[in-house]
Amino acid sequence: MSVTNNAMIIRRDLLTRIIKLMEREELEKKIDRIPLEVRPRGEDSVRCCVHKDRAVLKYKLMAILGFNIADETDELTPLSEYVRMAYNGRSQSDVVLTVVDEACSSCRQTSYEVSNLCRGCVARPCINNCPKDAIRFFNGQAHIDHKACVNCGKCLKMCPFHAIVYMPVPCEEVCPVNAIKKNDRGVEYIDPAKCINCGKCMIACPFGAIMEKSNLVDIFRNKIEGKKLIALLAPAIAGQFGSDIQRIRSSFHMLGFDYVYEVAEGAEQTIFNEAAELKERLEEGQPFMTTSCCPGYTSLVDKHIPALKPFVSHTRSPMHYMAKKAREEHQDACIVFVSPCPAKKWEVYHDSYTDYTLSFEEYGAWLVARQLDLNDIEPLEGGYTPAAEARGFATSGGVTAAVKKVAEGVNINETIINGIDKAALRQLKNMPRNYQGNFVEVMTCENGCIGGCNVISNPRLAAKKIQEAMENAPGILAEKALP
Amino acid sequence: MICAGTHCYLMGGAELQLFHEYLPAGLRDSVIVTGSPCLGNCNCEGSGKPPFVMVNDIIVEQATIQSLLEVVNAELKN
Repeated sequence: MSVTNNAMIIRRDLLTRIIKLMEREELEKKIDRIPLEVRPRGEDSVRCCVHKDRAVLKYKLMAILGFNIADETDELTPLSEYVRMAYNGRSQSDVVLTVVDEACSSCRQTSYEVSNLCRGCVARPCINNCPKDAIRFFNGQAHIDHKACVNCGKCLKMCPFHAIVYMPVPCEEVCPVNAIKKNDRGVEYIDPAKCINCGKCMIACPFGAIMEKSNLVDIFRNKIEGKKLIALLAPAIAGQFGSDIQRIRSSFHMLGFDYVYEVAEGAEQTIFNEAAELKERLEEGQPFMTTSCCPGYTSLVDKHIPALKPFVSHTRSPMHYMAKKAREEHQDACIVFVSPCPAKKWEVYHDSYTDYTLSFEEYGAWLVARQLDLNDIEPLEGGYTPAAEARGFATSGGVTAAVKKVAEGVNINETIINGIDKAALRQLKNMPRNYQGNFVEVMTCENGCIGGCNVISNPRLAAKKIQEAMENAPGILAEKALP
Repeated sequence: MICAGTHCYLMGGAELQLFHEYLPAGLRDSVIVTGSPCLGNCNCEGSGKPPFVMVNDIIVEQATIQSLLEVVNAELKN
């Protein structure tokens, strides 16, 4: 099945248009025209009419400018005004995901519904099996009384004509922590006290109604102000665009970044610290330790499984170590983490060394806006080559494999949580009481960071590319461990 | 020939890199699937929208796995 869908393509198109205008320094002048250009009069509209389409696009653009859509105070505020505010530097919150309320189609909450395929049969197993007596027959067809229905789904299983359908609310269905719910107008609301910023709702919404706030304008503003730009490339980028890491590094210089670091270099430090911490904890008699490099997972523990908190490693993420080094070398620079997911954007906001985030999608849009093609770029030779095990952090199981390599004298008996869903959540909740192993690796996204919701490549292709990059890298050496 | 240029890749071409897997087993021997550097269509006005794919001499714009399968089948019948 295809992973890419039209809602994503629209978002990438908007990102490209915004970056093109920023590159030409025409954003404020021309941004209010973008919705009209994308949905010109006379062409088919996706929603009820072209005006609704344009209104939705306006709010998506507002999110790309870095604003929380819920903060709008006056509907007449033009996008150009938001551009002015963004270029003047505005204060931002740690809210990452924002709901485009115009786009949210207010999916119906009723989960089970009888379709008109109901034949009104004599056997009526739906009625016989309903534990709440919620099904009535009239006009020759079954009807569910939604006040009585408890969504058990028995009628759906029993109907011999498959006439009963299950209608999920896609965003609520995928949220592992029940953080997204309807407000009193039926529009979805993300509860910041519960949200772990995994972005699964953003991918799931068929209307593209959930947007990630972008830092694009902030990055351009810093460049204009004369700051040096530093790009920290997440290990998962090695699997994107079907290109190799040397070309990708080179492309960041062409986009105007002054220094480029690979976060896999920071991962080397995470590996050694993690292994040392595991050894220490087990010797002290703690039963097990979990990883801490995925911010979606650490938020999950903070907000939903406090009993697991004492078992989470205190070792910092590869990004943190890399940013620390970059900051020491370049005090006044603007440090941008190039990221596979919105959870990292949340981590960046709270990290003391990193300033902004550029998602893989935004990076791709930037290349397109500048008409750069990775295949035509000369690879950048030289520079630091991170160890194979550090590159492996991008995929599920990579952290465990790396820690096993360097944790001498520790017999690691691991569990790998490859993606957080409701079942994984239950498994994690039980761990403080009865977990038998001694090491747990948790990745919020299936496949690890190459399955993050800002990635471009299919995770299977990305995994192959990461594997290639690992084969071309040296193994991890003990002498790299910091004292 | 599936364009693997950055523009096409971003706009849905990433998915098409797995096209060979979607070909029915009976057709796999009759179709050669290759990647290509930028086909140059994305910067010409009026040539359509990415991702682009060339099937023999036919340029397919806004290609999807399904639209490609249709074109490939039609070409094989010719």
